[in-house]
Amino acid sequence: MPFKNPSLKRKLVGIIFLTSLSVLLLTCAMLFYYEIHSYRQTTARDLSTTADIIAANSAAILIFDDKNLAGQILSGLRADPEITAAAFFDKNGKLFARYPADSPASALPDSPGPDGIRFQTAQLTLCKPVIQGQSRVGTLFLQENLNLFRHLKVYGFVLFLILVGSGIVALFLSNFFQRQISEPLLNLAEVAKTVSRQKDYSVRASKTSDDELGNLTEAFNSMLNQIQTGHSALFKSEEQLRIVADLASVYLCQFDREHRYKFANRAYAERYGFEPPQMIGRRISDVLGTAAYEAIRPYIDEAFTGKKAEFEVEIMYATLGARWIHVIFMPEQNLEGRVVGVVAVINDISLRKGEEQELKRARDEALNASRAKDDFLAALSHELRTPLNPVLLVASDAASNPQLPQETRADFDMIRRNVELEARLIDDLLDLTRITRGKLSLDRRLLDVRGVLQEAIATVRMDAEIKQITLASDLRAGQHMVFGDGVRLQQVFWNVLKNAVKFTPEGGKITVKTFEKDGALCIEIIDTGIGMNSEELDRVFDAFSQGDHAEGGSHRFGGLGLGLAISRMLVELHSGSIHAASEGRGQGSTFLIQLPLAPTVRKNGGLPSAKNPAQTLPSTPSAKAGAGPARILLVEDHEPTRTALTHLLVRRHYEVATAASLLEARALAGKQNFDVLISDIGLPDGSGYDLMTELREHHGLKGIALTGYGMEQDVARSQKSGFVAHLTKPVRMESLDNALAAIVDGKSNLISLKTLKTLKQ
Amino acid sequence: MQNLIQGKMFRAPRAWLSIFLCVAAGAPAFEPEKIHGQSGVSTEYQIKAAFLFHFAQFVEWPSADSTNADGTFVIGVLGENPFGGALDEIVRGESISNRKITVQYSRSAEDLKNCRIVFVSKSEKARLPRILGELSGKNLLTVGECDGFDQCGGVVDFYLEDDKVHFEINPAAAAREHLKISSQLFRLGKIVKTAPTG
Repeated sequence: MPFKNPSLKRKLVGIIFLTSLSVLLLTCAMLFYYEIHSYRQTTARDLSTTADIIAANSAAILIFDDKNLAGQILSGLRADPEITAAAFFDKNGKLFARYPADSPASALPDSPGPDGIRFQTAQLTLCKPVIQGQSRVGTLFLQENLNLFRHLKVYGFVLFLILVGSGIVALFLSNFFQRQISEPLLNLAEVAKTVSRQKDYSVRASKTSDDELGNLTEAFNSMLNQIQTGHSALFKSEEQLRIVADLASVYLCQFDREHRYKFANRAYAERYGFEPPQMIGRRISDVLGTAAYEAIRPYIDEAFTGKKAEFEVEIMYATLGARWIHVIFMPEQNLEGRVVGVVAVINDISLRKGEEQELKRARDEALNASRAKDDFLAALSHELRTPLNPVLLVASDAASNPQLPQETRADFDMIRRNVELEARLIDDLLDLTRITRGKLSLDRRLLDVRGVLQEAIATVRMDAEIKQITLASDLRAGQHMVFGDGVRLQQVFWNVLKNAVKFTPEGGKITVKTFEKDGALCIEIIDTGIGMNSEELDRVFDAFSQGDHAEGGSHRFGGLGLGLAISRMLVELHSGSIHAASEGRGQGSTFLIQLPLAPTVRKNGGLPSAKNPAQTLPSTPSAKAGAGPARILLVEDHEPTRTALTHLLVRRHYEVATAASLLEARALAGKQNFDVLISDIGLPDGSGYDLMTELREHHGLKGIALTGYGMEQDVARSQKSGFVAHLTKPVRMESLDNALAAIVDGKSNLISLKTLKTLKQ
Repeated sequence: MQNLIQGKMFRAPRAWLSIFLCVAAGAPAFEPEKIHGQSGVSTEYQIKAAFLFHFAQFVEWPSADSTNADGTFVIGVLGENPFGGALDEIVRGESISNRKITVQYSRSAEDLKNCRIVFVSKSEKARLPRILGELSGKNLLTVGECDGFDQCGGVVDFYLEDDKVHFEINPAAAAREHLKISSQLFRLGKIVKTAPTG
């Protein structure tokens, strides 16, 4: 086709024009064919007519054999120049006369052909019989030029003129009619171009007709409507988004794969001294500075792998200096899932970080202060106990020394009790402080309360016997297993029992009962003591409140009244409760302790509290050993304690070597063999823990720690370094006897450190 | 444009031809060579016999008495027979308008009254006017070969010129006898103008 990319107009004109031209050409071709046919027919008919006329008038000529006349008749054909030859043949087929008269015989056939008309390429020949009556008297031969070309030349020229004329008319008409179609379309195209070029969605194409083109225009306009609506909504929402982004206090930006900004909100741009549009296309490294850019570079790379990156980092800006920022990098993916950019949400958290660090510092300071206080308390406890230690050792030994007179032993006993009370007061104060501050941690395990109770009862038995108080126990609960700290529970029971003994007059009775109630183990301690009024009941568990039991003065019974307060706290730490009840003054008191029973009961569990070391009376262990007296290395820097202990141990037939420092102790251990190490912890040139570890490893010694440090962590550390017993100063001689006996008798493995610890009382 | 495709306007009419053929006339110059040299009879009479037979083809007789009693077309020869058997030979098997042609020879004009064509031989030259008078009014095509035959009221008269047989036609005599002579025959023969002999 001649048009490949011409305009619609030209196409339409071309189509109409070519169609018309094709029809015209076809018509012309048909006319041409018809004309040829018709020309031949007409020519043939005319020739035939001529032949008829001549033949009809030639019979006599042939019959009467008049050749002259025949020639004359034929020469009449001159009038028709198209007839090129003619002849008469007689009835025998012999040439009779010819035309033109001077033509050579070769121009004519020797004999007439069959009758009728024959078309040849350029001529028409005809043979016509000449009939007279019934008989054929000869034949007329005519030959005419079929001058088709000359004839059709004229005809073709006329047709050509018609074609040209029609073509011009078709061109004109097609040019006119194509506007019907092309004009609305071009109008549409023009509108579409305007819309796409100027982004003006308010223009509309005008509808010119009600046909398909009109429908197209309408559809186009309605599409424009929708685009306009959508576009303005989009523009509005974009505008809103921009306002929101600009007003947001966070820093927002978006950058591409080349790390150039595609978007930045106002806050972000102004942070670096730009207007938002100025940010577009800038490199991140140029805006932030190389150092800051390199700091966040790994996170950017991570985000470009399609993962969200969130982090806090302190970076050094070229313009802003060091800043803490919280950053979220969110990958931005195109429809194919390729990461084409990253959206960054940034918060400056420098202020918060500063506050956090301030807080941390404050906390650290507070912690340090608290630790200093603990250290002070520990030191205080230690320093307060140390002087009591030799006093208690000697007094307790003397009080139970049968060689002394009764009165003297009673005096020593009085001294012992008061020193113990003093120590107790110090312990209570420490405990109270620690519980109040939440520093006390329980070592809870599955525990049979009966053992703990019996141990507690045993510790007060002596005091009770002195006052002739009857101690009865009725442990009838179906089970006594609780999940608790044996040492602390024993402390609770001991406090209550001690209290009962204290406030029960001579000859009274104290009953310990256990029973189960509502899944809890109940321990009831009933005395026949002075009882409490309701006001006293209210305050009985408060610290530093001891009932104004007697008008005669509150100090008749001594103590600070911390025991019950500590007991309540300990019970509550065990998720239990403690209550006191009394019918009133003089009516006795009942204390009820409730502890949750352990859900799983393991009967006969090997529990460490079943022992009752108090039952193992002091003996002479050295006598039992059989292999000579046990050799003791005593390390103690407190001279009075060291002297008193040495004196008491020697009296018990131990071989004792003393040292006041680690140095001396090592020297001794290097020289002699020892069985047992009794060591203080706080020593002038090191700690007893280190000594214990050293001697155990090198000499296989077993040791007893004898120290003013009585807190849990001290006991644990003691155990870790290898001591089998940890005795807190002041130490009663019986406790040391028991610990020694256990070690020497080879039972040290069965002795619980914590159990031993309780022996200090 | 329909009329443009009509071929007729490019053709020249040929009416001229028939006009030409009607008026065409010339001096007759017959050369009857092909009839010469037949069976003892002179070529001249062989030609004349053929002419007699052919005249029957170009002449129309009045229909009322066109039929002889026996339904034949009779050519009569009056006087001496110059043809020998040539004439009989020519007409043998021939017929005119489905009528068989026969030849009748006689010395008496009276015998030949039923003929259509009567050839008057040279021998009768002396009594031509009487013979033609007897034959007149009988619708006969009378053919002679003597000078003055026309003048005596004969219709066709042979004559010789350049050794060729020619004939003259007297239209007035033909009209008198109510004979229609074909124009073709007129074109071949010489026309004789005579005063009607009544």
